[in-house]
Amino acid sequence: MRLAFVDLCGFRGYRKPVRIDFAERFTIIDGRNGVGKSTIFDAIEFALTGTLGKYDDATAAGETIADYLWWTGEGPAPEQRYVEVGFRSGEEETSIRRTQIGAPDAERLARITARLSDPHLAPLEPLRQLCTTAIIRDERITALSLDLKETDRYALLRDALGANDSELWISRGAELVTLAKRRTAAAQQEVTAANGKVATAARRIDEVRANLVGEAAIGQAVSRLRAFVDTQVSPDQLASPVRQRIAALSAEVEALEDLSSRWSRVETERLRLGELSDAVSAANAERDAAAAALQQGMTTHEPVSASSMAAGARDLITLVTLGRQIGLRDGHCPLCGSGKSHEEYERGLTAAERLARALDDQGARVAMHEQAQRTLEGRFTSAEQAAGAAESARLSVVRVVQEFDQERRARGVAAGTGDQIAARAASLRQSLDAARKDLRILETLHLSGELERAQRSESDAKNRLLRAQERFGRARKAEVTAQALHDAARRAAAETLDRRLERVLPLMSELYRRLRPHPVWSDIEYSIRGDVRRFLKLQVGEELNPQFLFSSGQRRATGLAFLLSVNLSLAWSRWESILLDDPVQHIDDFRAIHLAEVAAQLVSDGCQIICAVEDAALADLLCRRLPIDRIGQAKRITLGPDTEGALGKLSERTLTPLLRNSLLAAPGQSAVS
Amino acid sequence: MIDILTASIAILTDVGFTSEGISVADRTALAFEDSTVLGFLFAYDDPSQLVATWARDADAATAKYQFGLRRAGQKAWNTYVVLLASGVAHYGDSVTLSAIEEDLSGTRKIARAGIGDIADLREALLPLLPLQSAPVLEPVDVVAEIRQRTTELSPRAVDAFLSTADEAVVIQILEEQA
Repeated sequence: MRLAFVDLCGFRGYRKPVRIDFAERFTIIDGRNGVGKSTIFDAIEFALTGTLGKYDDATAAGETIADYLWWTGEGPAPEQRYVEVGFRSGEEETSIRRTQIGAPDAERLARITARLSDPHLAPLEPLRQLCTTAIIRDERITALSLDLKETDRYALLRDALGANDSELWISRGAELVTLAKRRTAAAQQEVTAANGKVATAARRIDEVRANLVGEAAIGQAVSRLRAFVDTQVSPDQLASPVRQRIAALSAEVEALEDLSSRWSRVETERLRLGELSDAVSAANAERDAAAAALQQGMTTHEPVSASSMAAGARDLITLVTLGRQIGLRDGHCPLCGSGKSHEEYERGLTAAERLARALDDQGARVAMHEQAQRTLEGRFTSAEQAAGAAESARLSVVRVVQEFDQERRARGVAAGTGDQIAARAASLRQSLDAARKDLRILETLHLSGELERAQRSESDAKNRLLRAQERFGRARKAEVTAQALHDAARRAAAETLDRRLERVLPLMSELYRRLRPHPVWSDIEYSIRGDVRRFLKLQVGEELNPQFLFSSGQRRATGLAFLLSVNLSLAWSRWESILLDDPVQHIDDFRAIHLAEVAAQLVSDGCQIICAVEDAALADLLCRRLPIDRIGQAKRITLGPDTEGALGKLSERTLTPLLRNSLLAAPGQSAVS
Repeated sequence: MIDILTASIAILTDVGFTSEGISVADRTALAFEDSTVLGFLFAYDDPSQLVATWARDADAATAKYQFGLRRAGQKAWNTYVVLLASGVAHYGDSVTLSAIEEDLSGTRKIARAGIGDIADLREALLPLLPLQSAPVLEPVDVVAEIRQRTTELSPRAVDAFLSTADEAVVIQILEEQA
């Protein structure tokens, strides 16, 4: 496939429609700076990939190359802005078109992709890769040539040489190794967990065994416990009655200990009972005496109370006082209205005064009697209360003693000393403690079952550990196999690539020798080194690095040789065009001639060369140095602004072949001098 | 040691040049031409002889073939003067030879010394010859290459890896093989 044409409008600096038809063998484009030479190559790349790789991901003030792809001034409407690139293979011609507002025809793009590359060998983005290697720009000569990192240089060559599916296998191998390692780690964790469970089970067994008692000790304990509960049941049924007996005995011991502790106090109370009875008798006697005195006082009881008498006396005095103050009223007593003389009236008042005094005296006596009676009543009440209290105290002590005696009798304890009760309680306590100890020994019978369970648990844990170990072993072996497969994929990729490189390196060396960047070091050595990371190293002379020896122009010439060899090594490329965008910047005339010679040989070998240069003389050189067999195989196009300032073609000239036999006669003819 | 002129005729003829021996300034030389370039080839015994007489020889050749060069028109710009010496150049001669080559006046010069065999001669004539290294790289069967490097592994494991099966399935097979 060769480039047939590029047609563009409103793209980059081209405002008007411009179509450039490329010649079959070579097209030389010249023009001053800024007339759109590089844009021709941009248009080809953009039509194929939709982007311009030379800008990578460059941004500035939030803008990218996408903001500058299309014409931004007055000119064609967005729907009229387009880029179209055509290809020709024999008589067949096809093209792909991108517009500012529309995507390219996907089916057509896929068809062109399939025609430009070998699908079996091509990398994942063949068009992008093709543009990277086929369009040799000044920027790429600088950035991706001699100054390129050795690893990147190797990657560039590796991608160019194809066999890229090896990368897929390497990637698959790497993923497999990652997965296998993950599973190995998981299996390792299972083993660790299973080991932990085995250890836990073993510790449980140790604990149970530590609590186990000898069989003889168990037999003796069983005998004692049987005696303790007075039964002959089997040992496994003995625990329950023993616990019941222990509970009962514990209650009894506690009761005896309680009795023992209370005995001394109760005996003291018991001794107080006589005193308390005497006190009750004395209190009763006093109460009886008080009652008699009270009874006697009540026999001289006055019919009228002292207060009534005192009130009668006060009323009578008041009446006399009123009578004196009022005196007789018309010979009549103002009190009773009867007719009285003054003497009678005075006598009557005096008699009333006497009566009042007698009545008052009588009231005083009655009051004294009443006071004495109340005193007797108080004495009786106190005596009666004292008698009740004494009796109550006595009864309380009697009750304590009776309750104690009742409890003692209930416990079957004969009336004795407190020490005897304490001794009995201690005896029972000793028996109780012994039974409890024997019961613990008896309970170790159950630990045997616990031991069996622990042993079963340990066995299960060991089985699980064994299975986990087996899984771990399988996972490790699988990891080793995955690693071996990954290594095999890497070795296959590296070794096949090395073999292919060995075949390509002579071409790279030859191109270097043809371009002759340096007058002394006329040869260059390319070598591959590194295992995990691969490097493509360039050396001249005695292992010297040309990157640090060569001048700018020499480095660019070396880089151009490298990029051309990469292009020619594209095993998967079916694109026969090499596009050189101003490849001779900083390169002197002598090396420009070498470049023309190389380009001439490339054309002779079937490559289509499209070369843009600024220098018209260099364009002339290329036009006459590159071979043409017939008219129409080559063109020279000059770009520049038209009268309106729009970029376009200023001239287009079809080149004609040179005279075949000018110096020497054709075979069979005589020489001409 | 080769006869440079005879060997050059063979090489140039082989790649499409017309060539013939000529006599210029008492020296036997070679004229050659194809559709794009033409030129003269002089052979010397040693570099010093080359350095001493190349200019006179070249001028004589262009003078002798001036009519042919005029007839060539634009093609005359593609005139080569190839100056080859059998003897090995010392450093001073090497520098002089480089200077001769970089002198672009009139013709394109190729000036080399130490032409002892055909390989040296081909190297000197390289600018006139087609690309000598033209590798044709065949597709690589990576699967077969991987198989060659996994013979110690179980075929089932290798088949699983080289299949389209999911990685988890491949791992399962690898573990079963373990």
